Amino acid sequence: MLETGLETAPKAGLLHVEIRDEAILLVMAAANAAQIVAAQLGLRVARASRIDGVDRVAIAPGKWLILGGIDQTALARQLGEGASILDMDSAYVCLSLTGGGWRRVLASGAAIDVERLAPGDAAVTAIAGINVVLWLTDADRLELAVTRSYYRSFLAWLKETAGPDGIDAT
Amino acid sequence: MPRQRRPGTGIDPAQKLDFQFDGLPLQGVAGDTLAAALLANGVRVVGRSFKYHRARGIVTAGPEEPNALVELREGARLEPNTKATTVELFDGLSARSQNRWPSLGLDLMAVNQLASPLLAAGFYYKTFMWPRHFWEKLYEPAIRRAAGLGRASGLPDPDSYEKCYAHADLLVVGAGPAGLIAALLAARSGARVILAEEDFLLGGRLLAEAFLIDDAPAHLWARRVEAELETLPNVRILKRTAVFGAYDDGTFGAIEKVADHLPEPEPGQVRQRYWQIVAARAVLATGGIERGIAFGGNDRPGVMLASAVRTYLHRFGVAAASRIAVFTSSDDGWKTAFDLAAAGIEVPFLADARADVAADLVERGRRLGLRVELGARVEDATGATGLNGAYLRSARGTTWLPIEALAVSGGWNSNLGLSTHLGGKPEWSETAAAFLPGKTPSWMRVAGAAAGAFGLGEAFRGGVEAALAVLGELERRVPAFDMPIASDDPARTTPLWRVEGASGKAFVDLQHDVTVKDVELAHREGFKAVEHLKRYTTLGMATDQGKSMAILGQAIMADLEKVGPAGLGTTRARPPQVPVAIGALAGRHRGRQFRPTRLTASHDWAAAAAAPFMDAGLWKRAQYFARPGETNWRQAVDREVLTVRAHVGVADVSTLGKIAVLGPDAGIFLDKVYVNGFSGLAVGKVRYGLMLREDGFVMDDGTAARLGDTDYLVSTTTANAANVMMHLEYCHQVLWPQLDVRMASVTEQWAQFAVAGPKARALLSGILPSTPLENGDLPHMGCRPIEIGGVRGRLFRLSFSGELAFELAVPARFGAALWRSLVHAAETLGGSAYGSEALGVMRIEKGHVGGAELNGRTTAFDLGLGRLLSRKKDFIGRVMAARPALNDLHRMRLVGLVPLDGRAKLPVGAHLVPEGERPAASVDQGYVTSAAYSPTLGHPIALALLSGGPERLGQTIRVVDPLRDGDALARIVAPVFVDPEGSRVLA
Repeated sequence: MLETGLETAPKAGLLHVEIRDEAILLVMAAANAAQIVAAQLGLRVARASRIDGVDRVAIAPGKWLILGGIDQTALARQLGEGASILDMDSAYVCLSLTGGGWRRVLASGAAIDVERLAPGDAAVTAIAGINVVLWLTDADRLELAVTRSYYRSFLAWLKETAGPDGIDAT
Repeated sequence: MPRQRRPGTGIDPAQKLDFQFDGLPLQGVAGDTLAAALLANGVRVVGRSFKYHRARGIVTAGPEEPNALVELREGARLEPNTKATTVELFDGLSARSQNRWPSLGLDLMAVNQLASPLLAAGFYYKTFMWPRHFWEKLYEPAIRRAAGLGRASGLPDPDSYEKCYAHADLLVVGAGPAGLIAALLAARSGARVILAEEDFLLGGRLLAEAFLIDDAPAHLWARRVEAELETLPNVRILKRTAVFGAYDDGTFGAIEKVADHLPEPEPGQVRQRYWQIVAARAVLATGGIERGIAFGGNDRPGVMLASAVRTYLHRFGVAAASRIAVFTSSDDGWKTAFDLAAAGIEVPFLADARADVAADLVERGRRLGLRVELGARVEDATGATGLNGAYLRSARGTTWLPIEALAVSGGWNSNLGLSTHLGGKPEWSETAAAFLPGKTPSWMRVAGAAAGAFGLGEAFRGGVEAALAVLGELERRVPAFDMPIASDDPARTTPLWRVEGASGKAFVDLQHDVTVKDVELAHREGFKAVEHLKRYTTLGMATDQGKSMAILGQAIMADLEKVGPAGLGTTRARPPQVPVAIGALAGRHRGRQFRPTRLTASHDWAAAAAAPFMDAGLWKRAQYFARPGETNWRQAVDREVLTVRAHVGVADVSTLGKIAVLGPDAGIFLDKVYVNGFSGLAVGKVRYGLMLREDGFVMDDGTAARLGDTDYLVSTTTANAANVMMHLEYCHQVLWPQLDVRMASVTEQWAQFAVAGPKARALLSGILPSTPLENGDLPHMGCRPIEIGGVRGRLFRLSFSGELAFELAVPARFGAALWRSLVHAAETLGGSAYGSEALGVMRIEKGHVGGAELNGRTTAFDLGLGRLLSRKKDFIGRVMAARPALNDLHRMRLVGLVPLDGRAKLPVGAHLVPEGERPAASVDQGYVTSAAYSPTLGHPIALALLSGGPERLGQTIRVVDPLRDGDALARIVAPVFVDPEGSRVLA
């Protein structure tokens, strides 16, 4: 998925990018059902959480992305008439960023308060003019969902912004 | 000749730095600015002035410098108009003077001074009016050659820039005494603080004065505070960072000069960083700027601001000259004389325009043996290429006295800039004898000299007050701190704007060569308001923005108007406060990354096929796929069209917008946004739909498919995808929130490919062997789910080309693989891929409206789609679309055109005028919206909007394109050129 030419040997300061090739579902709550659905998804306060390896990310009032190994049929049964579910596994390229001061890199592209991003936070924003969803379930790891058609532009920006230490990928 | 270096608060004399000025090898020390190093080497003339090419020297010691502009570096990194007073010296620096020829010493353009009576304000406006045709060929080129100061390299910028965002509880702008103490208090409270300082050292005037704080040199206090701030994790210190703009809601723009102090950036290092800072509160501690006095020859090299003389003495250890006189109308000027005398530098005289000066100052001056002249004025300074003397007028008459430098103090301006960016109107203060910030937003405070607190003690108090107020608002505890013990130096000023009786040119804007006479001329000619004065004379419009001197011109105008500074007011600044490199604003968005691009699933295949790409918004769409032997684009496009019409073609149509509309009320919702009905659409069917704006004009068109009882898929044009999505969200959230509808853009989820042509069904039967594709199974405007290679997809029976056609959609991650399969399958049937050009040609042949017709000014009636407007239901735009004027038969309405001679091009944009009429706006009846050569028909065709068009079929119209010399006759025809019965689509 990542273009060739990226560093592969780990070195200090390297920004590590992991492609998350996982199922992505979009859950949209029915009218007046947002709170119930949020509770069903395990998101009472936080806007993002990881439960049993599945990320749940609030992206708009009444809308959530669900990432990871989750049974869509079972989820649909659980939510019933309270929500619609769309398969969005191709709409985004999902990345995990670790190491190399990803907060510095993020602060160069996103107008959000990067210093205060903490596990449980999520944002739908733009990085270098590219639509992304970002969230944290771990203080040292940034999760990103980049809209697919922009992915190459995003990667070009990321490589340049990462600086001389570069990035590597798995 | 180099001067002996003294100790300085900001230099390391032991660390020598070699540099060049105009090719002359010189030496400075670490901590120098270029200006300091030039003064230390006895360089007095550093440039020539803009209009009169007069020799100019260093006037200030900061970013307000009007004169000492130099070209820095070489080659692609050459940078003109750099202020020597802000350039941090580095080893190997190379600088050149500018705006002179052939040399700084001998500038032939100085002959302009002889023509100075002609070059007064308004010269260009009055002179270059006639003859009119001279303007383009003579005047403008000549003025452009003569204008400007330095040269740009003309080469691509080799450096990189980046943008950064930062958030804080408090932004403190300026790290002088007020800023430092405000930042310290807030930082100790635990608040997140950003301290931005334009200079490369923190301290401001604490580095430049002989101040004592707590009985120790003031700069040591600054160092201590800096050291403490650096240890605090909640503080970000941004040195070399100029905050250039204040914007809404606590947002500021700033430029950090990351590597400008280095010969060139380190590998991977950006040259400058553009910060967007969002702060809950801001304290502007931007300091003050001393102002000069307008007397004859006040631009001579050696005439400097008195505070700058002190800065060079204390911070840089440089005496600006060996004989420095002082001319002042403020107490502050006396400080310069005292400091110079204490340093053993000869002060030939201290002239104060005021007769009434504090006795202790006079006494101290006399004790130091100074020649103190009260009620005295310097009328004229002399010395063409360097100050050699001054005419001093006192009660005893006028005397010429030899001097090398003159330190001038006309009082202080507060550095207002940022406080005015959000509309704050400066107010004149008689007490401070300066304009002070007016009303600022609640989150912005001004402290220290910027607020008129020009004494050290009151600056500290102002900083503390601002910090305490901020901490109170942020509900933070007040930390322990000791108020620095510092003096409140006398700072009384009686403004003296100009010296009457001067015989030489008296300047009020050194960089733009605006004189007192220019101001008087502006007054005589009626340009009296400060904004008119500014535009007429260019006062304050140069790179220094008149920070030190423009007030003189404004005040002189106020005197002429007899209203005083308060009556006339001053100009309000707009961002940027300091010059900002465009490259820094662009950041990483340059070259191929100028803006992000969106790529379709077939992009790599198309790129490998050497397809040219067109921009459709941010999308890249392949235009055509040329084959060997095809020498121009038309050959490829014609072939692709004929291939589709005869065989089969495949095209990537993924860029069309796709919106999933779900929920029990989805059908009702679509009934309201489309002119036609959708709630009654059967599952498995697709319908063409039209959306109007509230004003009744067409917004967008497309299809909507009903995939399930509560599951619709809306398609939009590529260009309007985002607009339609926003429109639907607005409709749901604002107009009909009671409807249970959920929607999401799924454009990115699906790759979608058109398969068009008589062999389309044959192609798909190979790809989808188990999917029935006959008319009975999947009729025109039908849709169904499919499975292809284990992947769930969708199949639509839709045609944009006018041929039997399908659209096949799969999740985008599988799009590239499907595309390759489709192309291969097409080629085995004699078909091929086709690009956006062929798609567009077939669209015109079939008479489908596109972006050129959906231009925001057309109605459904204009486009021949009026029959779609439902009479059974309400929808957005219904009432307004029914207005009689929008249904007038004479409106410009859609028709087709074919050239009478079968050959003439009918260019897009060409105007339609009646045959036999002379082309003119008065007889203009319409225009061509879309045009193509139709390979199917073998001649050009066009779609056009023509007044009363559908009623004029068969008539002849003249198609005139004056821009491209086009003039042809065309027959008006129905806008469907190919298969008007639609039999191919239904095959």
